[in-house]
Amino acid sequence: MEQYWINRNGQQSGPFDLEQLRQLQLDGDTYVWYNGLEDWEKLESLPQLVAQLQQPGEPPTVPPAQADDNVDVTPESHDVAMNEENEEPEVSVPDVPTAPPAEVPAPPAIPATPQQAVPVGIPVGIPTGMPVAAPQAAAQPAPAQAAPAEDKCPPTNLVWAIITAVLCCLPLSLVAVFMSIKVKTCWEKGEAEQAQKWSDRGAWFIIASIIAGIVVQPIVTFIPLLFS
Amino acid sequence: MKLSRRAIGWTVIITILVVVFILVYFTFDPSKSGFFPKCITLQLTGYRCPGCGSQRAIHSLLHGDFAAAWRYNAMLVVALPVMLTYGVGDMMRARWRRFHYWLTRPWLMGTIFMLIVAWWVLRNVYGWYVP
Repeated sequence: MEQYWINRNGQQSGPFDLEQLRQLQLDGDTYVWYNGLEDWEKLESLPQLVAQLQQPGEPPTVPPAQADDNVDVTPESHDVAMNEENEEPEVSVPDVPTAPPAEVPAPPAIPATPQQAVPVGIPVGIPTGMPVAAPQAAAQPAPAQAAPAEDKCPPTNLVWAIITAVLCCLPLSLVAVFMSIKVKTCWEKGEAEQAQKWSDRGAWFIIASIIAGIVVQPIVTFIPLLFS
Repeated sequence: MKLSRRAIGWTVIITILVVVFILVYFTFDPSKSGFFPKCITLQLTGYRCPGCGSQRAIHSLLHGDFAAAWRYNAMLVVALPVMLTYGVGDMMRARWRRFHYWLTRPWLMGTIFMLIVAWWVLRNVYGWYVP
């Protein structure tokens, strides 16, 4: 279960689970932080979370792992997964409505950069599930199992679509530009799977049109020569 | 910043490709040399595509002749900085999250889409190209 910390009018509180967060009726300018965010973010800049808050009862949709970016970070995500196991006892009791933890967890301070927020010297593998462990695990980059954040949106491929359309003389790939818009609109509606599908479609469309261009180019160039 | 081996490999490959690309287009004039690919769309349909004239425009740009580049393909001159911005935005996505967020607003991408289509239609209607 994902845990969230909030900061309203300078008052920091948490951790909350999604259900508790819903009951809090947050404004768009409430700062939110959870495992996977680099720093505090205003709620309104996290459309994915807003979408989750609006559909009660549904589990948070974790987008499919992003093909491109995640390859590089796989070893790190293993580490984080291990930390996650250690937290298990603490994470699994969010049913108790409040009961603020004895030791206040320390997500990054509002103006602080993530580096400053990392508590140095606290052993990572504390087995007892102290609440300190949660923000500390999060201070490391934890892309694989983090909640869907803005930067988990599948790639839009917009640059490649424009390059193939404008530089390669393949106006058909304007369809791929359209697909990259679809990626974003689906993502902001909270449809992570649809967004991923459109992203893949766009990528394949671009690849296909480049291959088609390479194949058709000589044909188009040489056939007129035969008739002339 | 920690760079993975993969990232370094890609950087090297892309840098080499870009350098070769620039050298080829700087050295040879696409309006005179025969070995540059001709636009498929133009040959198939007889209409100019949004990218027609790009090769000559790039050649002109590399020689600092903005006026000629503008005549060959005005949109390319505008689009290059835009594409560069998007490329950097994509690469720095994890760090400049707000920047990337604004770059990928659906209305902004929709505007780009409409501009390309409009340019495509208008240049054929008004003859904004060099044969």
